[in-house]
Amino acid sequence: MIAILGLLIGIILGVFFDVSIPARFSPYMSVAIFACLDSVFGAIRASLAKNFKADIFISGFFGNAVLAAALAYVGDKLGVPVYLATVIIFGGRIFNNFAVIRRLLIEKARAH
Amino acid sequence: MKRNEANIFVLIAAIIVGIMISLNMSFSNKNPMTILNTKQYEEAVNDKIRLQDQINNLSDEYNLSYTKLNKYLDVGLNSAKVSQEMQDELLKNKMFFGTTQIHGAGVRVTLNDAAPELRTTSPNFMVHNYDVAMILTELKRAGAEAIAVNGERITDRTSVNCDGVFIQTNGIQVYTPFYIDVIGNKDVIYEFMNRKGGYLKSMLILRSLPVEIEQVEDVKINGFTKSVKSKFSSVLNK
Repeated sequence: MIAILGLLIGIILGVFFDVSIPARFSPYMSVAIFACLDSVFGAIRASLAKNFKADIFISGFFGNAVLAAALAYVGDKLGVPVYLATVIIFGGRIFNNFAVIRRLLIEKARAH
Repeated sequence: MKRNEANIFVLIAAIIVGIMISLNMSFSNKNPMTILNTKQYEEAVNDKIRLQDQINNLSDEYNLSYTKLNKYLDVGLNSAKVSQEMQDELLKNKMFFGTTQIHGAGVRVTLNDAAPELRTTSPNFMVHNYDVAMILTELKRAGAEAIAVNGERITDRTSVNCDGVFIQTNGIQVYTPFYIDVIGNKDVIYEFMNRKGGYLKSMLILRSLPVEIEQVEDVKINGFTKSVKSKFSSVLNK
Protein backbone atom coordinates (compact mmCIF):
# COMPACT_ATOMS: atom_id res chain seq x y z
CA MET A 1 0.00 0.00 0.00
CA ILE A 2 2.72 2.36 1.09
CA ALA A 3 4.72 1.53 -2.03
CA ILE A 4 1.83 2.40 -4.35
CA LEU A 5 1.27 5.62 -2.46
CA GLY A 6 4.96 6.45 -2.82
CA LEU A 7 4.90 5.66 -6.52
CA LEU A 8 1.92 7.95 -7.04
CA ILE A 9 3.56 10.77 -5.11
CA GLY A 10 6.75 10.27 -7.09
CA ILE A 11 5.00 10.27 -10.46
CA ILE A 12 3.07 13.40 -9.56
CA LEU A 13 6.26 15.10 -8.39
CA GLY A 14 8.06 14.05 -11.54
CA VAL A 15 5.31 15.33 -13.81
CA PHE A 16 5.06 18.52 -11.80
CA PHE A 17 8.77 19.35 -12.00
CA ASP A 18 9.14 18.01 -15.53
CA VAL A 19 12.92 17.83 -15.49
CA SER A 20 14.14 16.31 -18.71
CA ILE A 21 17.05 13.96 -18.93
CA PRO A 22 18.97 13.67 -22.21
CA ALA A 23 17.20 11.15 -24.42
CA ARG A 24 20.30 9.04 -24.88
CA PHE A 25 20.13 8.09 -21.20
CA SER A 26 16.56 6.87 -21.59
CA PRO A 27 17.33 3.14 -22.06
CA TYR A 28 19.70 3.12 -19.07
CA MET A 29 17.08 4.90 -17.01
CA SER A 30 14.55 2.20 -17.83
CA VAL A 31 16.92 -0.51 -16.67
CA ALA A 32 17.73 1.43 -13.50
CA ILE A 33 14.00 1.79 -12.81
CA PHE A 34 13.65 -1.96 -13.04
CA ALA A 35 16.49 -2.46 -10.55
CA CYS A 36 14.93 0.07 -8.14
CA LEU A 37 11.53 -1.57 -8.42
CA ASP A 38 13.11 -4.89 -7.59
CA SER A 39 14.72 -3.37 -4.49
CA VAL A 40 11.40 -1.89 -3.41
CA PHE A 41 9.67 -5.25 -3.73
CA GLY A 42 12.53 -6.86 -1.83
CA ALA A 43 12.13 -4.30 0.94
CA ILE A 44 8.37 -4.91 1.22
CA ARG A 45 8.99 -8.62 1.38
CA ALA A 46 11.69 -8.19 4.03
CA SER A 47 9.53 -5.92 6.13
CA LEU A 48 6.70 -8.47 6.02
CA ALA A 49 9.16 -11.23 6.95
CA LYS A 50 10.46 -8.92 9.67
CA ASN A 51 14.09 -9.09 8.61
CA PHE A 52 14.39 -5.67 6.96
CA LYS A 53 17.85 -4.07 7.22
CA ALA A 54 18.15 -0.45 6.16
CA ASP A 55 21.80 -0.60 5.11
CA ILE A 56 21.25 -3.63 2.92
CA PHE A 57 18.21 -2.00 1.37
CA ILE A 58 19.91 1.30 0.58
CA SER A 59 23.05 -0.29 -0.81
CA GLY A 60 20.92 -2.64 -2.90
CA PHE A 61 18.65 0.13 -4.10
CA PHE A 62 21.39 2.37 -5.44
CA GLY A 63 23.94 -0.34 -6.17
CA ASN A 64 21.60 -2.41 -8.33
CA ALA A 65 20.39 0.65 -10.21
CA VAL A 66 23.90 1.86 -10.96
CA LEU A 67 25.13 -1.61 -11.88
CA ALA A 68 22.17 -2.24 -14.16
CA ALA A 69 22.59 1.09 -15.92
CA ALA A 70 26.36 0.59 -16.21
CA LEU A 71 25.91 -2.91 -17.62
CA ALA A 72 23.39 -1.65 -20.14
CA TYR A 73 25.80 1.11 -21.14
CA VAL A 74 28.77 -1.24 -21.53
CA GLY A 75 26.59 -3.69 -23.44
CA ASP A 76 25.53 -0.86 -25.73
CA LYS A 77 29.15 0.03 -26.42
CA LEU A 78 30.09 -3.60 -27.03
CA GLY A 79 27.06 -4.25 -29.18
CA VAL A 80 25.70 -6.93 -26.83
CA PRO A 81 22.18 -6.35 -25.54
CA VAL A 82 23.12 -6.85 -21.87
CA TYR A 83 20.08 -4.82 -20.79
CA LEU A 84 18.02 -7.88 -21.70
CA ALA A 85 19.84 -9.83 -19.01
CA THR A 86 19.07 -7.19 -16.39
CA VAL A 87 15.46 -6.94 -17.47
CA ILE A 88 15.00 -10.72 -17.30
CA ILE A 89 16.78 -11.09 -13.96
CA PHE A 90 15.03 -8.20 -12.27
CA GLY A 91 11.71 -9.09 -13.86
CA GLY A 92 12.02 -12.62 -12.51
CA ARG A 93 13.03 -11.37 -9.09
CA ILE A 94 10.14 -8.94 -8.96
CA PHE A 95 7.73 -11.77 -9.64
CA ASN A 96 9.43 -13.98 -7.05
CA ASN A 97 9.28 -11.25 -4.46
CA PHE A 98 5.67 -10.57 -5.29
CA ALA A 99 4.86 -14.27 -4.88
CA VAL A 100 6.46 -14.31 -1.45
CA ILE A 101 4.70 -11.06 -0.46
CA ARG A 102 1.41 -12.51 -1.58
CA ARG A 103 1.95 -15.66 0.44
CA LEU A 104 2.99 -13.75 3.54
CA LEU A 105 -0.01 -11.43 3.29
CA ILE A 106 -2.46 -14.27 2.78
CA GLU A 107 -1.00 -16.24 5.66
CA LYS A 108 -1.24 -13.18 7.83
CA ALA A 109 -4.87 -12.69 6.83
CA ARG A 110 -5.61 -16.33 7.62
CA ALA A 111 -3.96 -16.09 11.04
CA HIS A 112 -6.28 -13.28 12.08
CA MET B 1 9.80 0.45 15.15
CA LYS B 2 11.42 -1.89 12.69
CA ARG B 3 8.23 -1.98 10.69
CA ASN B 4 7.99 1.79 10.62
CA GLU B 5 11.57 2.14 9.49
CA ALA B 6 10.94 -0.25 6.65
CA ASN B 7 7.80 1.61 5.67
CA ILE B 8 9.62 4.93 5.57
CA PHE B 9 12.40 3.53 3.43
CA VAL B 10 9.96 1.85 1.09
CA LEU B 11 8.00 5.09 0.79
CA ILE B 12 11.10 7.11 -0.05
CA ALA B 13 12.33 4.48 -2.50
CA ALA B 14 8.92 4.30 -4.14
CA ILE B 15 8.86 8.06 -4.52
CA ILE B 16 12.27 7.97 -6.17
CA VAL B 17 11.15 5.19 -8.51
CA GLY B 18 7.98 7.14 -9.29
CA ILE B 19 9.97 10.23 -10.14
CA MET B 20 12.27 8.20 -12.37
CA ILE B 21 9.35 6.60 -14.15
CA SER B 22 7.59 9.88 -14.78
CA LEU B 23 10.81 11.51 -15.99
CA ASN B 24 11.44 8.67 -18.35
CA MET B 25 7.90 8.76 -19.65
CA SER B 26 7.72 12.49 -20.06
CA PHE B 27 10.82 12.71 -22.16
CA SER B 28 10.21 9.55 -24.08
CA ASN B 29 7.02 11.24 -25.25
CA LYS B 30 9.03 14.18 -26.51
CA ASN B 31 11.71 12.08 -28.18
CA PRO B 32 10.13 8.79 -29.14
CA MET B 33 12.79 6.13 -29.53
CA THR B 34 12.38 3.92 -32.55
CA ILE B 35 14.39 0.94 -33.55
CA LEU B 36 15.46 1.10 -37.19
CA ASN B 37 16.42 -1.74 -39.43
CA THR B 38 19.55 -1.53 -41.56
CA LYS B 39 17.82 0.06 -44.53
CA GLN B 40 16.02 2.67 -42.47
CA TYR B 41 19.25 3.40 -40.64
CA GLU B 42 21.07 3.86 -43.91
CA GLU B 43 18.33 6.19 -45.13
CA ALA B 44 18.43 8.14 -41.92
CA VAL B 45 22.19 8.48 -42.15
CA ASN B 46 21.95 9.64 -45.76
CA ASP B 47 19.24 12.06 -44.76
CA LYS B 48 21.45 13.41 -42.03
CA ILE B 49 24.39 13.80 -44.40
CA ARG B 50 22.20 15.59 -46.92
CA LEU B 51 20.86 17.94 -44.29
CA GLN B 52 24.37 18.56 -43.01
CA ASP B 53 25.44 19.38 -46.56
CA GLN B 54 22.53 21.76 -46.88
CA ILE B 55 23.47 23.45 -43.64
CA ASN B 56 27.06 23.81 -44.78
CA ASN B 57 25.99 25.21 -48.13
CA LEU B 58 23.59 27.62 -46.51
CA SER B 59 26.20 28.80 -44.05
CA ASP B 60 28.68 29.28 -46.91
CA GLU B 61 26.03 31.24 -48.77
CA TYR B 62 25.33 33.26 -45.67
CA ASN B 63 28.99 34.09 -45.21
CA LEU B 64 29.27 35.10 -48.84
CA SER B 65 26.23 37.32 -48.63
CA TYR B 66 27.42 38.78 -45.37
CA THR B 67 30.83 39.73 -46.75
CA LYS B 68 29.11 41.15 -49.82
CA LEU B 69 26.82 43.23 -47.66
CA ASN B 70 29.78 44.43 -45.63
CA LYS B 71 31.58 45.36 -48.81
CA TYR B 72 28.61 47.43 -49.94
CA LEU B 73 28.35 49.04 -46.54
CA ASP B 74 32.08 49.77 -46.56
CA VAL B 75 32.03 51.54 -49.90
CA GLY B 76 29.00 53.39 -48.61
CA LEU B 77 27.31 55.69 -51.06
CA ASN B 78 30.21 55.68 -53.46
CA SER B 79 28.13 54.52 -56.40
CA ALA B 80 31.10 54.03 -58.72
CA LYS B 81 32.58 51.46 -56.38
CA VAL B 82 29.24 49.74 -55.90
CA SER B 83 28.70 49.50 -59.62
CA GLN B 84 32.25 48.17 -60.02
CA GLU B 85 31.46 45.47 -57.44
CA MET B 86 28.26 44.63 -59.25
CA GLN B 87 30.06 44.47 -62.57
CA ASP B 88 32.59 42.05 -61.09
CA GLU B 89 29.80 39.90 -59.78
CA LEU B 90 28.00 39.99 -63.09
CA LEU B 91 31.18 38.86 -64.80
CA LYS B 92 31.53 36.03 -62.33
CA ASN B 93 27.97 34.93 -63.00
CA LYS B 94 28.55 35.15 -66.72
CA MET B 95 31.61 32.99 -66.32
CA PHE B 96 29.59 30.51 -64.34
CA PHE B 97 26.76 30.34 -66.87
CA GLY B 98 29.12 30.18 -69.80
CA THR B 99 28.21 33.41 -71.54
CA THR B 100 31.69 34.89 -71.49
CA GLN B 101 35.01 33.90 -72.94
CA ILE B 102 37.33 32.24 -70.47
CA HIS B 103 40.71 30.58 -70.44
CA GLY B 104 42.69 28.24 -68.22
CA ALA B 105 44.63 25.00 -68.11
CA GLY B 106 42.88 21.92 -69.40
CA VAL B 107 42.85 19.25 -72.07
CA ARG B 108 41.89 18.92 -75.71
CA VAL B 109 40.13 15.79 -76.91
CA THR B 110 40.11 15.10 -80.61
CA LEU B 111 37.60 12.68 -82.11
CA ASN B 112 37.80 11.73 -85.74
CA ASP B 113 36.26 9.22 -88.10
CA ALA B 114 38.28 6.22 -89.19
CA ALA B 115 39.98 6.09 -92.58
CA PRO B 116 37.57 6.48 -95.56
CA GLU B 117 37.97 2.88 -96.74
CA LEU B 118 36.89 1.59 -93.33
CA ARG B 119 34.09 4.13 -92.95
CA THR B 120 32.03 2.60 -95.75
CA THR B 121 32.11 -0.85 -94.20
CA SER B 122 30.39 -0.14 -90.88
CA PRO B 123 28.84 2.81 -89.04
CA ASN B 124 31.07 1.81 -86.11
CA PHE B 125 33.94 3.56 -87.80
CA MET B 126 32.31 6.96 -87.52
CA VAL B 127 31.91 9.33 -84.60
CA HIS B 128 28.25 9.67 -83.67
CA ASN B 129 26.24 12.09 -81.60
CA TYR B 130 26.04 9.60 -78.73
CA ASP B 131 29.82 9.27 -78.73
CA VAL B 132 30.13 13.02 -78.29
CA ALA B 133 27.41 13.06 -75.63
CA MET B 134 29.10 10.23 -73.76
CA ILE B 135 32.50 11.94 -73.89
CA LEU B 136 30.92 15.17 -72.63
CA THR B 137 29.33 13.32 -69.72
CA GLU B 138 32.64 11.68 -68.85
CA LEU B 139 34.43 15.02 -69.01
CA LYS B 140 31.87 16.55 -66.65
CA ARG B 141 32.25 13.54 -64.41
CA ALA B 142 36.01 14.19 -64.33
CA GLY B 143 35.37 17.72 -63.08
CA ALA B 144 35.47 19.81 -66.25
CA GLU B 145 34.62 23.44 -65.52
CA ALA B 146 33.95 24.53 -69.10
CA ILE B 147 33.66 22.60 -72.35
CA ALA B 148 33.43 23.60 -75.99
CA VAL B 149 32.99 21.40 -79.05
CA ASN B 150 34.59 22.92 -82.12
CA GLY B 151 34.33 26.30 -80.46
CA GLU B 152 30.67 25.88 -79.43
CA ARG B 153 30.32 26.32 -75.71
CA ILE B 154 28.51 23.53 -73.90
CA THR B 155 25.98 24.92 -71.42
CA ASP B 156 23.04 23.43 -69.58
CA ARG B 157 20.90 24.23 -72.63
CA THR B 158 23.12 22.36 -75.04
CA SER B 159 21.95 19.23 -76.76
CA VAL B 160 23.96 17.03 -79.06
CA ASN B 161 21.90 15.78 -81.97
CA CYS B 162 22.66 13.73 -85.03
CA ASP B 163 22.09 15.67 -88.22
CA GLY B 164 23.27 13.52 -91.09
CA VAL B 165 26.99 13.83 -91.40
CA PHE B 166 26.92 16.73 -88.95
CA ILE B 167 26.30 16.92 -85.28
CA GLN B 168 24.21 19.74 -83.89
CA THR B 169 25.26 21.53 -80.76
CA ASN B 170 23.44 24.67 -79.70
CA GLY B 171 21.58 24.40 -83.00
CA ILE B 172 24.82 24.82 -84.93
CA GLN B 173 26.14 22.09 -87.14
CA VAL B 174 29.63 20.92 -86.42
CA TYR B 175 31.39 18.07 -88.13
CA THR B 176 34.41 15.82 -87.74
CA PRO B 177 37.06 16.13 -86.55
CA PHE B 178 35.61 17.18 -83.21
CA TYR B 179 37.92 19.22 -81.05
CA ILE B 180 36.62 19.22 -77.52
CA ASP B 181 38.31 21.91 -75.43
CA VAL B 182 38.04 21.49 -71.69
CA ILE B 183 39.10 23.69 -68.78
CA GLY B 184 39.70 21.86 -65.54
CA ASN B 185 42.33 19.91 -63.62
CA LYS B 186 44.25 18.66 -66.63
CA ASP B 187 45.96 15.77 -64.86
CA VAL B 188 42.77 14.46 -63.32
CA ILE B 189 40.79 14.73 -66.55
CA TYR B 190 43.63 13.21 -68.57
CA GLU B 191 43.94 10.24 -66.25
CA PHE B 192 40.18 9.78 -65.99
CA MET B 193 39.62 9.81 -69.74
CA ASN B 194 42.58 7.47 -70.33
CA ARG B 195 41.48 4.95 -67.72
CA LYS B 196 40.97 1.33 -68.63
CA GLY B 197 37.39 0.74 -69.73
CA GLY B 198 36.71 4.43 -70.30
CA TYR B 199 34.66 5.44 -73.30
CA LEU B 200 37.59 7.11 -75.06
CA LYS B 201 39.71 3.97 -74.75
CA SER B 202 36.91 1.79 -76.06
CA MET B 203 36.50 4.08 -79.08
CA LEU B 204 40.21 3.85 -79.72
CA ILE B 205 40.66 0.13 -79.19
CA LEU B 206 37.35 -1.49 -80.15
CA ARG B 207 36.49 0.78 -83.07
CA SER B 208 39.99 1.91 -84.05
CA LEU B 209 38.85 5.52 -84.31
CA PRO B 210 41.65 8.08 -84.30
CA VAL B 211 40.89 9.74 -80.98
CA GLU B 212 43.41 11.44 -78.75
CA ILE B 213 43.63 13.54 -75.64
CA GLU B 214 46.36 16.03 -74.84
CA GLN B 215 47.04 18.31 -71.94
CA VAL B 216 47.04 22.00 -72.79
CA GLU B 217 48.49 24.77 -70.67
CA ASP B 218 46.09 27.47 -71.80
CA VAL B 219 42.72 26.62 -73.30
CA LYS B 220 40.52 29.43 -74.58
CA ILE B 221 36.80 28.79 -74.62
CA ASN B 222 34.25 31.09 -76.19
CA GLY B 223 31.11 32.17 -74.45
CA PHE B 224 27.63 30.98 -75.30
CA THR B 225 26.35 33.81 -77.46
CA LYS B 226 22.74 32.91 -78.10
CA SER B 227 20.19 34.55 -75.87
CA VAL B 228 18.57 32.28 -73.35
CA LYS B 229 14.88 32.82 -72.76
CA SER B 230 12.70 31.52 -70.00
CA LYS B 231 9.20 31.42 -71.42
CA PHE B 232 7.64 28.86 -69.14
CA SER B 233 9.60 29.17 -65.94
CA SER B 234 9.50 31.94 -63.41
CA VAL B 235 11.04 32.48 -60.03
CA LEU B 236 9.30 30.74 -57.15
CA ASN B 237 9.20 33.02 -54.16
CA LYS B 238 10.05 31.13 -51.03
